[in-house]
Amino acid sequence: MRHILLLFGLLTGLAGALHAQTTLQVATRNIRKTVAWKPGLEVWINCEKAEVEVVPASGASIQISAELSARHPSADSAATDLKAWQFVVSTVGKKIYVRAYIGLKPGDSAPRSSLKAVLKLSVPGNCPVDVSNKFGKAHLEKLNGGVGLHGEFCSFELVQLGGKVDLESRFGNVEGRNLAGPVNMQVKRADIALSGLRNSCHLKSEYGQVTLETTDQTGDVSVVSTKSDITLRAAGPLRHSYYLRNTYGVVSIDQDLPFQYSNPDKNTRQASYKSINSNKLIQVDAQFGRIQLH
Amino acid sequence: MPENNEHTLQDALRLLPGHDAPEMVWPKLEAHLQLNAAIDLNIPLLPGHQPPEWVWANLDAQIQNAHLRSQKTVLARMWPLWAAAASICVLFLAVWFLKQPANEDQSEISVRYSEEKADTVLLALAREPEDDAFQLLEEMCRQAAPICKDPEFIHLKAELEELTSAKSELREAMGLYETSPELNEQLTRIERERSELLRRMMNMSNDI
Repeated sequence: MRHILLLFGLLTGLAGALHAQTTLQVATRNIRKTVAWKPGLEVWINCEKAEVEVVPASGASIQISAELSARHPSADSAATDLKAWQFVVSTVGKKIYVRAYIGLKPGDSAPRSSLKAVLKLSVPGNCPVDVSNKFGKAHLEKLNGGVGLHGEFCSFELVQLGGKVDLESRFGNVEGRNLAGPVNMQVKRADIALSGLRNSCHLKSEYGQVTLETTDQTGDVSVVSTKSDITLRAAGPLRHSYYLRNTYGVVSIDQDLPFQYSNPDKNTRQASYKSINSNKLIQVDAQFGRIQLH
Repeated sequence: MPENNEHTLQDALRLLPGHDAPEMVWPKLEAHLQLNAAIDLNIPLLPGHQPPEWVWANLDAQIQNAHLRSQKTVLARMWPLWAAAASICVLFLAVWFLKQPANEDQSEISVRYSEEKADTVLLALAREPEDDAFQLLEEMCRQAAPICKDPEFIHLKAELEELTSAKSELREAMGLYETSPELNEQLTRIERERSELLRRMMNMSNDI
């Protein structure tokens, strides 16, 4: 009985420790800005430690909401570190810059708090947007202008974008759904998952997983990868021609189509299929890793 | 002003002679009063007549002309005042235009303070000490172990160094109080990949 009580106490203590929480004091500065927009102007967002959200605006102006915060067990430290946040909106030529960064004056000690920014922008649907972010995430939705995205340790979620997408990411996963414009991505040490592509798509991947769901509306696709696993899924019957090539890796095809297999050299596997319905091509050139077609 | 010799004045007034109106004045006065009363009594009984339309039109035109003439005069007289008011307005507009940034229409700023509960499990992730095995690998190459000259080993070591650098960068950015699931997931992934590389490198060194 004594042992059972001891065990019960131990388990309770362990459960308590697992759910233990620390109280952090949070100092937050909220900023709201409205910026006039006219065709030809672009929005360039440059930030760090930020959660960025860009959605379409109903009017012809840009609404910006910034929530800059500092978290620390001491309220004084949080309040002091909050001052390190700098937020600037400026127009230079045809670019409207939105910057959220940690700016320290000479002699200032580095902030000890956890710093975070939440930036929400609503922009006119046709306004081109460029986002650079480190240590955070970005969500862009229902925009028709072109978008340029640059991230390190920043995950991207792209939904219903009508324009061209150019993306570079290192250590930040990318998820895209219903992308109508041409897509060009270079991603290192992160995963890419794209579906509902309605235009051409060019991907370069290193050390990640690439999952592509194509439809008959998808244009030409090319994937160049190193040490990545590539998974291709076709929604509906296969309409594209395929050319799949993997050096030091595996090519696996789960389709009842007359693929032609070959081994150009002892380390290279190659599979190709010529569609009679379309002249659009899906091409994968991989080194190491795995290519799978479902 | 008070009268100095009031009694003398009163005596003099008493001594003034008195006169009566002639007899014929009273019947005339009475006839005049009766006529006025008859007029007042009969005015409501008189018929009404409207003037022709052109009379009103002429009157209206005359009134308008008179009004314009008088306004012009007032405006002309007040021109220095109007000029001063316009100058002040222009000055205010210029100050507003210069102070207003070209692209910002509105701006609001506020600061608030609150408390938040942070999960200690997430906080602990960024504070995990480095595994001794990584140090062992460094030590091995410092002592010029033969495996450290193997091209594949060198390639793996370069990858490991890239990941170690990324881990340091991420940990520094996260600080001690970061609870973002995405960043913690990224840190876990880097650590997993580093562990995989370490395992492969250690296996290579054991195989020699």
